[in-house]
Amino acid sequence: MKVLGELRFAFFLGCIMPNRYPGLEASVRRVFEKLGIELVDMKGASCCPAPGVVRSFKFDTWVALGARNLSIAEEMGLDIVTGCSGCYGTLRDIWYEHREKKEIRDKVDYYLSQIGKSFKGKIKVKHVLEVLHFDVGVEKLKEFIKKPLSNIKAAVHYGCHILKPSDKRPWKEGTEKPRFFDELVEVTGAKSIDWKDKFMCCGAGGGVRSGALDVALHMTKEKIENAYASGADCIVNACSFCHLQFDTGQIEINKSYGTSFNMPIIYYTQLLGLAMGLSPEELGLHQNNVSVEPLLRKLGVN
Amino acid sequence: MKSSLAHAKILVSEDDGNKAKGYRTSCDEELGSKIFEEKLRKFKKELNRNYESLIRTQIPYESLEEPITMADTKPLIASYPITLEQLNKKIPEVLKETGIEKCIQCGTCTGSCPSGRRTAFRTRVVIRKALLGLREDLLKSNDIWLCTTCYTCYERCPRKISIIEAIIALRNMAAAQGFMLPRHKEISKYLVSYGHLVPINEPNKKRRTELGLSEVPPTVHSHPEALEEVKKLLEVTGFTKLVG
Ligand code: SF4
Ligand code: SF4
Repeated sequence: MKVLGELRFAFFLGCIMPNRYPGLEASVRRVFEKLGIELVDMKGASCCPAPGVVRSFKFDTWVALGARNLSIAEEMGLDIVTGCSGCYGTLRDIWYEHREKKEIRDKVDYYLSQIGKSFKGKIKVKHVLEVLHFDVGVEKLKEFIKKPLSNIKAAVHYGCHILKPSDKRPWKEGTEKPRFFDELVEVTGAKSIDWKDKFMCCGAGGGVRSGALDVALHMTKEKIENAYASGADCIVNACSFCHLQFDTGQIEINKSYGTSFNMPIIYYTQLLGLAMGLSPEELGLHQNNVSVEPLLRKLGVN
Repeated sequence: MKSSLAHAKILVSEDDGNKAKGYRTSCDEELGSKIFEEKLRKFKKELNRNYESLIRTQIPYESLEEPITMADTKPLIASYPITLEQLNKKIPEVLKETGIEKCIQCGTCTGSCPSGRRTAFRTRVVIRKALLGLREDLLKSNDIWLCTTCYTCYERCPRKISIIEAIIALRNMAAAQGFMLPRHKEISKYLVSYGHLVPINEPNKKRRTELGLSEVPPTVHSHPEALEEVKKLLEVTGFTKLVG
């Protein structure tokens, strides 16, 4: 029997979650609080750093800054939880390579010694969904659902780095048709619908959003069109960068393609929070660029 | 135009090399025909005229004769850092640990690529060019910057080649040679100044307060001594100089 009150994590924020979409941060904090899971701040943590750009420019910088962030949690004696799949990719991949390869351990030792820190690999790195799926579990989550979101059709967007590279991830369902995220969505009462290219990238990663915005938006546009075609009420994601790409990106798409998309973009703990009885304001839903009003109206929340 | 011609050269050369070694190639049936000989001559003429520099950077075919071991199918990761010294070595050697020499050019990667679906970026071609050591062609092209690192190709590659590791290694080389997109340099400077690639701004301070969160997150933004550590690491790893 799991006692949720015993779960404590170092909460890694990254950049986009606290600095562009603080609503996502608030939703993770409030949902976890309700579940009785303690999140402790990682004082002085930095950018993860971003796997698509920093790792692409200078591999060693990526390892050194990532290891520094890991070392902060190790000092706290807590496993990390993060709600951004980019941060998850960086921290988990570095954690994994540190465990597997002496070459990486030597690098980490050398660079961290420059700032009087060290990392020994004693902690783990988890995604918010990983904690909810493995540590809490769908059955337990059910007990917390107060207002089932019964008439909502959700287009679930897994995103890439929560799943892949699969040899460095905890899921045991493969990468072509996993179900764990759909199950987490369906526990809220919403229906996870089938949609074309559900597992396709949002377009933002790998430095493509910053380096080739038109290519990134073209990808996002295809995904949003597919979501519309499937009759979805919203796109549900689990990554602050995917969230930004779908939400801010939608405004950019409307500008450059003359479209008038207004597909609500919901981060998973915002959806779960609604079902747990938290208000849209507490979950920061009103701070999205694309209005979530149509969704809330359908739910009868507002 | 440029990339399709360069690509043609690769295919022609591959068949030439295999023919010389007595291997069957996909062109065997066509090889005897006049039409093919004519096509080949035309290709070579054009290529020699336009791509002397590329041909010069091409590695000799001997390296392609290395036996491929079927036993090792676990993912291999590139060795880092890519130093200037290594840059002078042949690309396939630098990328050896990614396993690119096991590539059978099946195109599964290209067929899975969400970026290639809308651009001329062809993952398979990048791998092929890397194998051939077409250094300038790879490092100066936009292709390597169009990968979103979605890992779909990696998951599906029948040879379990570490495709993204290879692309990242090529990007590291390109950046070291000064081939970085201007916007990438720009955002990197935020990391150097603030320890966040995406730093806090006024509207988001307001949003945070509205939500009952601390106005500024408890990250390097609230801890100047921590920011100094980050700056030190950016310095000693050479990042500050790279993007400066
Ligand atoms: S999927 Fe793998 S083996 Fe096939 S072309 Fe791509 S890299 Fe080569
Ligand atoms: S990881 Fe890059 S090359 Fe591979 S499928 Fe995704 S975008 Fe294409």
